[in-house]
Amino acid sequence: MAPVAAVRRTVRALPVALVVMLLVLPSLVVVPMSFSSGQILEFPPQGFSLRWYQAIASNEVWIEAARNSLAVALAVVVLSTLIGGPAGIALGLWRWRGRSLFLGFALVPAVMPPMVLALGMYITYARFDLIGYWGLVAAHTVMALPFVVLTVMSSAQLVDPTLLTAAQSLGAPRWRVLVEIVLPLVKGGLAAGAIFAFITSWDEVVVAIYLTDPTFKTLPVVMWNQLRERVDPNVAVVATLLFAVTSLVMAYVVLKGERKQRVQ
Amino acid sequence: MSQPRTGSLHWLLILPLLAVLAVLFIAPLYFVIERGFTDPPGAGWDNYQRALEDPAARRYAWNTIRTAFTVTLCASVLGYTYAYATFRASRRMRVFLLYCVLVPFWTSLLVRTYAWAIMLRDEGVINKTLGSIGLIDAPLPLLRNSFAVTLGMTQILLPFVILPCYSAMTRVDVSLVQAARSLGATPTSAFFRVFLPLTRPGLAAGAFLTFILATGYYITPVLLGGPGDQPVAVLIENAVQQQGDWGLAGALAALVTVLVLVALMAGWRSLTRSVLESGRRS
Repeated sequence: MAPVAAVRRTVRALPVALVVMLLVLPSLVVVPMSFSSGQILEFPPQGFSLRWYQAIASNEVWIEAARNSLAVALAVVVLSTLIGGPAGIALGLWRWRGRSLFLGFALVPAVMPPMVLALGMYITYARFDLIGYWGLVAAHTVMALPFVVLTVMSSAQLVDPTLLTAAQSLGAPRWRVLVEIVLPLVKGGLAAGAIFAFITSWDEVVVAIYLTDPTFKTLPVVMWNQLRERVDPNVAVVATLLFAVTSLVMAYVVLKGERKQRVQ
Repeated sequence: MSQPRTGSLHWLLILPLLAVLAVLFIAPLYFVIERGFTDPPGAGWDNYQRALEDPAARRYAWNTIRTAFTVTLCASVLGYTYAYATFRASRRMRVFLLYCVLVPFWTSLLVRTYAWAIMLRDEGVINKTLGSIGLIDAPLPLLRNSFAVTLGMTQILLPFVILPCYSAMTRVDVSLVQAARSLGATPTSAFFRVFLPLTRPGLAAGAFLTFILATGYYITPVLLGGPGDQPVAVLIENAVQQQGDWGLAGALAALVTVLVLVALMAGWRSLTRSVLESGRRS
């Protein structure tokens, strides 16, 4: 009986194990590849060395691109939370006519084919001489807004309406209720939205290819150009560094969330 | 749940978003579609006729739709199974499985896609392993075909199925399943006749989202696919970059946009339901 049960359990766990592999494998193989001592990007890597890390540290192109990406992503975070946050609050807090239509409209940019967005933005922004930094900030803000709206909306839905009624019946004007009661309560949603906005911009390739020029390139654009030409472990190093940074940020967020849950 | 009296305050809060999307999103969409009618001058519907009659364009369209369907099917089956396993797992296991869903988001999409290319090629780790244990004589053709594209896209889109499915499962009233069991239903029929129907909105939302996103994919088919797997996005890019044919590109962009919007409307109910409820008690 026992072996049958064990076999059955294994068979049942198999698809899940496969999906786990599918999810994490591509992220994991990148790390050893970055420590390769060989000339080309391969797995398993040849030997072990830090030479490609040294190469990155002294390569102006990558550093410049990383700086550009960071500058774009930070501006996108600020703009998309400022614009999407209030809309998310309005969607989550109240019911009003046209609410679900507006929600749909606000979410469409996230599902539009990037190539269509890229061409449209290219011809439109070029008219206003927006190719480069501000054009890319504008484009990525549009693409990040749906995520901010969604996350803020879901945390605004959790706000207890009696709090609002209480504050209002005590004479607080509506804008004060929003700023002093709702805003602190949706802080978590805003933070989650900000993280999504950052990742959206930081990782975006297709639109960035069209809205950047040789004097202003972001990290994914440089990676894309590299991957289509000569593939050396540089790309793996950059990916590993990014992986390390995001893992740390996510671990911090998860741990903080856990602690908060325990306190509550 | 919601406060009844809002006055017009909500307008003030959504106005910035409306203005930004109108100028930075709708205007670009309008201008690229307009090109389809005005390039060359007086083109009218000519570009659409060209797009619909060109056998190459038809092939690209077929590639796009076929890939989107395959990926949606794979991601839905795997994603639902995974979400169910997560739902049923012990607390510790659940944290681990949910963590794994988030890992892909931490690695650049480009790099993840390229990692597949490295693993799948003839000298890659998969073919080498299979060869060294004697299972195959010649390397399996794993790269530059629909298999590679499906694998790469499923990997990227799986979280979009898993998360809404899991969230729908946490909202199911488990006593309904127990009631079905106590009334004599086998575990299998309790699952298929009670649990699955109750979580179908989550699955539908994930599947629609996957399909819609898959129709717009560009990077993955270019890096992993063969000539027979290239989607409409590549055709649009070729029209612009190689032929400077903005008219055709505009018409194709309009057609893809219509496809996305139709799919969005078809999945509208389940998508908004899943989105509007996901914040509610879990």
